Amino acid sequence: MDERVWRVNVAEGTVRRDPVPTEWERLGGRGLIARASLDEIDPTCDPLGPGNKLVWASGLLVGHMLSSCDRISVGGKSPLTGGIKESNAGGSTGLKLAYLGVKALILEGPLLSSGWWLLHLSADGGALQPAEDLAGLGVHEAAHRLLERFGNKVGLALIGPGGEMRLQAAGIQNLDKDNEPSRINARGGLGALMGARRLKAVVIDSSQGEKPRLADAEGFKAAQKRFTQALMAHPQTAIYRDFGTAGLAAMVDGFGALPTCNFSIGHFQGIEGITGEHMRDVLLARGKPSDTSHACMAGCTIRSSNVFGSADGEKIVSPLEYETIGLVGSNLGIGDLDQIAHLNAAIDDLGLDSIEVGAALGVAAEAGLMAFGDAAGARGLVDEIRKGTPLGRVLGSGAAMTGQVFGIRRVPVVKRQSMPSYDPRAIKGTGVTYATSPQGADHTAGLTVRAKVDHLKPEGQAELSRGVQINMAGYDCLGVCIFAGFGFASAPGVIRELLMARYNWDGGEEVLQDLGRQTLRMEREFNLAAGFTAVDDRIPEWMRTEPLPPHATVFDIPDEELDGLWQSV
Amino acid sequence: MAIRVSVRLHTVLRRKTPEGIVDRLEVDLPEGATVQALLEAAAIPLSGDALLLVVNGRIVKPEHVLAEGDQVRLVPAMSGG
Repeated sequence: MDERVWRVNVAEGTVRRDPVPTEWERLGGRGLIARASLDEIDPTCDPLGPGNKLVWASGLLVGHMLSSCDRISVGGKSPLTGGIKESNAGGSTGLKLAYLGVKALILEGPLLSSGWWLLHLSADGGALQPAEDLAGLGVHEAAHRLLERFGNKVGLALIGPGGEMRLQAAGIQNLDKDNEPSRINARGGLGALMGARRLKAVVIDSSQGEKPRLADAEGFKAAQKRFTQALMAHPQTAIYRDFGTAGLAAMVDGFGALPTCNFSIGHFQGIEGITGEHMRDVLLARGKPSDTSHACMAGCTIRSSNVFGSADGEKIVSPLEYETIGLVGSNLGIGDLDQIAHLNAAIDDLGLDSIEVGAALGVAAEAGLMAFGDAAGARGLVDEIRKGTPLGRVLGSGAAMTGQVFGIRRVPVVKRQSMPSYDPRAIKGTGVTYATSPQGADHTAGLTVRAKVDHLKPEGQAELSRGVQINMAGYDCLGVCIFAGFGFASAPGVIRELLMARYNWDGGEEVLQDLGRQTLRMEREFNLAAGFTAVDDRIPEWMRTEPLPPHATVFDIPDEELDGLWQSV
Repeated sequence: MAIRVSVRLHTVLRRKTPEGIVDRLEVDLPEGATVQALLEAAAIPLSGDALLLVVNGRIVKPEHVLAEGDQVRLVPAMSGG
């Protein structure tokens, strides 16, 4: 199907299919969101007002079941950071939108003050339908009802009660290949933008759609084969398959960088209960439905996801990932995977970002609202969010809001977005990424934990961070999972070949980096116009002055290096 | 003179034995031994290239000289997301 820009105006009840602007043709995913935001959103607008838009864009390589390359990006002006936001997720949404020829799906226009709606997309176009019956429902029940109504072949992107309440930690959830609404565009509060326009769900029927056309089918097949072989041969692929991201827990703890008790310590006494190695042993012993390896997207050969089931054979949550284990586990002093899994499931069902909520609960614990290590207390606070109490709404608006309301200084955020599970004092390159990324502190913006450098030394970290930020922004334009990046890295030139075979344009040898640089420049331009200054590119003061045990290290990258990072992007 | 170092084997380096999974080793090495020598002495199946070599919480190079009581982690390289 020809690619179009689909524009949805809920207030008018209209869905339009417009031609793709020429300048957007060679953009996808995060890069297209940056371009569209600059072209169509006033950077100074109220994020929850009528001037903001919510943009979905599949990556440039989406639609061909290339292993781990069918991700969907969503973005706009973030209600959490006040800057540009792109958050991407796996699942089936990216693939299905590509089958319908959706280059971008843009939610725009005046706000409604009542009612709830769903958007149905198919090869015939889009239509808005009443969805009052779904209001207030958790993500799982809402998805279940939508699948009953529209059949189990559709894709879904939906919000939970968190998005309906326009909470700043609200994400947008997508179905995985087994129809679980578990793949979340988590970061930056984008679910609140759906809530602001009273859109509960997008239903995608791609049954009459078709695979995006290839300029050179044979060339694509050959490049795909080379990529898949490189990915399968990479030693890292087997690690992710067997241990998932949870394999990082013991590693980051070993670096003294595992957020523990609201980022006050870098080593967790209870680490042995939350490692990826321990999780694997537990899941293998429990058997089905527990599964140590699970694919979130059709065609993925890495299968780094998992299904975490209870000892008595009930599924608790899928997946349980490292970032959640850190923020909801060690960061809250909780060392029991079952307790973490139950908390994760409750946060998921609210449609919230488990990183942001975990960080908010850590701040809440420091404020005395729960004790560190008290999983029941943490669950009680999550239930406050479910009930929509004033306390719950504060927590559901993230760590920065919680810190402000309760007068806590130790708040682990940059640009008001909470840090993921690497303390920047002990992994300093990642701290540079937190500080300088236009996205705020974000686990997908460019981690350096894998680099063979002394993470405690300040020298060279800015340069390291710049390189990974550029690469990650590039991958986010393609729809590529970070873990597929290792396959691309060991098959030089294959990205250029795939783009050539798909679109018949030659991006050149550095196409990945060129896409990344271009995207970062646009995002930076948006943030500067939104009023961001050098002050926003800083790690919080307390992390620059309070030493982190066990290495007694502070964040000590000079301001000039942070500010200089953008000069050569 | 010999030194003894404690080694933690991460993820795929753990060993299945009849007594269960082994993820910790105590290794005796001659004084002046490097991390590379440890990899060989402990018959680690991955090369130094594919590993993060961590001594007392810091990443080091294969030629790093070990000392008595060092806490070594051998981490097959991975990243998050």
